[in-house]
Amino acid sequence: MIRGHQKSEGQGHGQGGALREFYRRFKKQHLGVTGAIIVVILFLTALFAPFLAPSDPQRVDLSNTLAPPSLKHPLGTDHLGRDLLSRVIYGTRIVLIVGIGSVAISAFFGGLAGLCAGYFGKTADGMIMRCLDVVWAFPPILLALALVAVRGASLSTVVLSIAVVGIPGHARIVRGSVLSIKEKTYIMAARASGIGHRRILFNHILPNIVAPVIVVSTLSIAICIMIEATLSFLGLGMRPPNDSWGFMVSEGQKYLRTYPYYSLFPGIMIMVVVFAFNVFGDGLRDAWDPRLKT
Amino acid sequence: MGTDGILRISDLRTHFLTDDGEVKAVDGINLTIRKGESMGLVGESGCGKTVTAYSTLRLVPNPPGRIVSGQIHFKGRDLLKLSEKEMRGVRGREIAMVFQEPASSSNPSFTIGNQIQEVIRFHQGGNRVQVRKKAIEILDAVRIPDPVRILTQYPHELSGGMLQRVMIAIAISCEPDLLICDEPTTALDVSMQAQVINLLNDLRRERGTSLLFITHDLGVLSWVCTHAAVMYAGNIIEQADIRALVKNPQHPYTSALIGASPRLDRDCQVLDSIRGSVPNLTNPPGGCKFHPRCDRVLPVCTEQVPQLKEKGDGHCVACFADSEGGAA
Repeated sequence: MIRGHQKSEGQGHGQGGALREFYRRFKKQHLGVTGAIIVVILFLTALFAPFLAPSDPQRVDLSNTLAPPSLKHPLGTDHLGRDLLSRVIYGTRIVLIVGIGSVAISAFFGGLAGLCAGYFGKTADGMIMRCLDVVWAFPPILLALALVAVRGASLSTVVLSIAVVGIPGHARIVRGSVLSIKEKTYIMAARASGIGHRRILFNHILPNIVAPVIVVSTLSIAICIMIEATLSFLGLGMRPPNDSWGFMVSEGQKYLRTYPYYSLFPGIMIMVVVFAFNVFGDGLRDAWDPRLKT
Repeated sequence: MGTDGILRISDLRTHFLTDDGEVKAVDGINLTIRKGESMGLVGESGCGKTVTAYSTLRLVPNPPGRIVSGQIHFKGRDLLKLSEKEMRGVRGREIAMVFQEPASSSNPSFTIGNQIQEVIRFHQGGNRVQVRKKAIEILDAVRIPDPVRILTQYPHELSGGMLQRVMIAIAISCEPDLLICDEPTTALDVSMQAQVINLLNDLRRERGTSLLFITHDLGVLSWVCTHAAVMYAGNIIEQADIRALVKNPQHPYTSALIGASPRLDRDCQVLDSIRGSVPNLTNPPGGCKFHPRCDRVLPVCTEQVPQLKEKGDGHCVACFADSEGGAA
């Protein structure tokens, strides 16, 4: 147990201090910082896609199909003569919407379920967790596939089905954190001063578990992006004109032997993004760990 | 026992259901605290002091704990019969509690200001300015220097003694009639202990707050309390005003406890100790629970449970040996 009673130089304490301390430790995680930089670049790319893309990603040019990389088309063109670089750039929007959107949804609902299960325990815990175990037991791709099959392929369906897959994982993390926090004396102290359950749950427990949830969410963004790419590759995800990288890999597959650039660049991008979110999440977790140990 | 008690606990039994059986943590205790009185509850670890406090606030974790029977009359109402919602109005507002370790009983994610203001707002309402003013007043009352700055600080940034005074400030912010202190000085060093104890004494004098003071430190006890009850294995075995208890302990356990505490006015190399250890409460010894460790054990002690009897002047003892001695 390390408890900083005395204030000392260089040791941040409290929320503001903890954040500073967290940032200081995170800076030492070189791989994590690399991941963070890539993620930031990705965000900027998605935001400024119209300015960055050399041409309209949907502009068909049948006189110039499957052209190898050139100055005009740095990554070449696809089977309809569309600029691959532009398509990849616009693809970052889809990737981020799907990754962050689905994780936000599953963190919200999973978090709510986990909070209730962990705090109220007993029957509520049993019922909520058993229901989620059923979802958990499905292979994620299969579950997403079933949902897409029911609702038809679209951006919202893909986000929703990936979100459903992520709910049990988030619920478990939150439940575990709640179980450890609710035993703390300060929760007893809050109850002893007359504060009700709902207030304790949302005002006293929730702020103490936000950090581990952020770490887990960052890591699961990578998983969600993989699932999206897989679904799109299987033809069950995004449809044109929503250019998903997974879908582009799938299209390029037909020309893999004669024209590998088509699948290659979107494939590399998937790899880079998943890698970036993974190391970013790992870095956040490692920077957070010392505090979890206390 | 007078009827003017602000808190009257009668025949309280709190049991815990564990895998090894039922633990009778509190096994039928009676305790009365009058207005402005400071009742100490002494005993070894695990004798049921804290469980008594939690039972009074109805905060015994359930499962595994359960208040099996008894009444807790507080200002004329039986707390055990109140709804959870009514009970929330009692906690913090009428009965407040201070815990052992200030560092773990304060929420690390919030500033001191947040934590005090939350309790004031919750029980008394008022707008931001009023609540803030009240918080500063109350910090001032517990002699926190520079309360305006403290409001913006986090628990980690304060020393243990400071933080404990802040916790007391939070506890008294709604002017409770009864303040339960669960070993409030145990985690502090001696000079901080003195500050906290003086503060509690002043509060009791100035505001007429009654105290239920849980401790295992007899020195602290005699400094804070006007009365004291000694607990052993879930029972109160002796109860008296503090002078009578320390000067003239009747129960062998109380005498042994006093003999085991260090004193400045007595020159000794080795402190007395009580042989044996605290009994297992799932299967306590029959008769008087203290008999296996007692020096004055009689045949009757192994068979019958001694009841708490008054010996005059409100001095109550639960011991057969003593009644024999008294008769002789």
